[in-house]
Amino acid sequence: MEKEHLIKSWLLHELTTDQQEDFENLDDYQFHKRIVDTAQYFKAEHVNEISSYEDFMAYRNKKQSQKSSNWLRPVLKIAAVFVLMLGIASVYYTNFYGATTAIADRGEKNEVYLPDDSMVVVNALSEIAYNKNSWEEAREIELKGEAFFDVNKGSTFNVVTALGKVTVLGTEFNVKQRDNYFEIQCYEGLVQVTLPDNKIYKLPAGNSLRFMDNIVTQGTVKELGPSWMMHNLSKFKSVPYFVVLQEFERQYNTTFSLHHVDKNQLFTGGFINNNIEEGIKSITLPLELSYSISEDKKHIILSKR
Amino acid sequence: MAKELQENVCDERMFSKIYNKYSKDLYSFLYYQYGDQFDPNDKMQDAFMKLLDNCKNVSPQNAKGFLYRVAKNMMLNAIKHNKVVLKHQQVKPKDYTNESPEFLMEQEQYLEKYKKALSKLTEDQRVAFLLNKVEGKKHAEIAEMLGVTQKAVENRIYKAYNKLKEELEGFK
Repeated sequence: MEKEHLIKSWLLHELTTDQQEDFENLDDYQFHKRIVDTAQYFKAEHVNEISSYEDFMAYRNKKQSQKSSNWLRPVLKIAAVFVLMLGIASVYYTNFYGATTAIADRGEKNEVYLPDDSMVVVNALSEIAYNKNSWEEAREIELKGEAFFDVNKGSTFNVVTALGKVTVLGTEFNVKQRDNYFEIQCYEGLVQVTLPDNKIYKLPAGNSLRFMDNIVTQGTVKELGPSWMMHNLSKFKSVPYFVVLQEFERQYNTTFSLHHVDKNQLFTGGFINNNIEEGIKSITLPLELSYSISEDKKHIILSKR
Repeated sequence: MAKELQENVCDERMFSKIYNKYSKDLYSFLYYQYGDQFDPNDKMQDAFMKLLDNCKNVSPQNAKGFLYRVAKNMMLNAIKHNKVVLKHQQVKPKDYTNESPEFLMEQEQYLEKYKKALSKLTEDQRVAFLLNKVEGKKHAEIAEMLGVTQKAVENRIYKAYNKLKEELEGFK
């Protein structure tokens, strides 16, 4: 048996006794054996000191009491979410009677698990809806806004937005649909995109597709996930400035007033999602704009210098 | 498909059984995946907390898959993918009572080089290789944990091995 093939078979434990003998007779046998044997030195430490079940329950109780100490905010959040649902529900989810929904408010992210363990992380001011009861037969989810999907293997999984439909068999990808803008980035697996004109595109991992003003642009993706989720950073590549401002408004629950600012100029760059001063600097300095943030941070004025 | 009388993951007895069954392996997986930049014991418990929060939606058969999915996705929400460097256990002199100080030093150098080589592997390769060679997990089980095919696992192990071999050529 050829040497490389022999080594590979040994590595994957597929050797017969004869082949095993051949392997042990190789002149660099000890070299190979040492590599595998030495792995033991890197075994996970302290595996016998992990939390017992009782320790775990104590840990959980501690974490839960930390969460519920702030009871007033949840009440306010529910009021806002309810209003939002009403607004969107009346326009959108006519197909989904009795839908289960998950929403992320302004400045929020929401991590949700679907009935088949698929995971969705919903970005600010975005919403998903699906039918829990018919989930096994047809995995279909409506999305308004932006979300990251990690889909479990199973039946065909569809994400439906106002501007395009994404079909997957089990993979990780990010879908963004805001007004006239639809973008999908595929990080793992393969997705199929159907646009409003019924044209179909197949996107393997490491690829992106953007549909804006009826123009399709395809590109590559090197990251493992969307930057808003991994780094709390909203990133943009050659998009009209007003797209950037709209996302900023969603992330920070603020509104803009513009004085002599070109809303349509193309912008490439990003802003951090958890520091409003740093964020506004990174989207105004490159365009030589000056900004003024109101006392309550709910309003920002931008002007051309 | 007949629907069996569903035993609930929410049930305390069932959940504690699941915890005791999978906590050690999940801890090891988290360690190989992320090193100790975050405490793997805390992350392991966070994963079980997610399972408990979602216990209504997860059957006992799917609990393991659910836990590993959560574990895999954990760091996607964290700030950075720092380079993972795993620590190695010290060369224990009592294992080598017949060996010379020269051998012990050579072994220490080998381990240092090995540690560097491991950190150069991709996360996928490192985890598959260590789960197979250190934890003795079969390819099929690793495939299940990672949510990929068995062939993908074998390729990762093979690639990992070749990279290690390249880095350790000097010790032939």
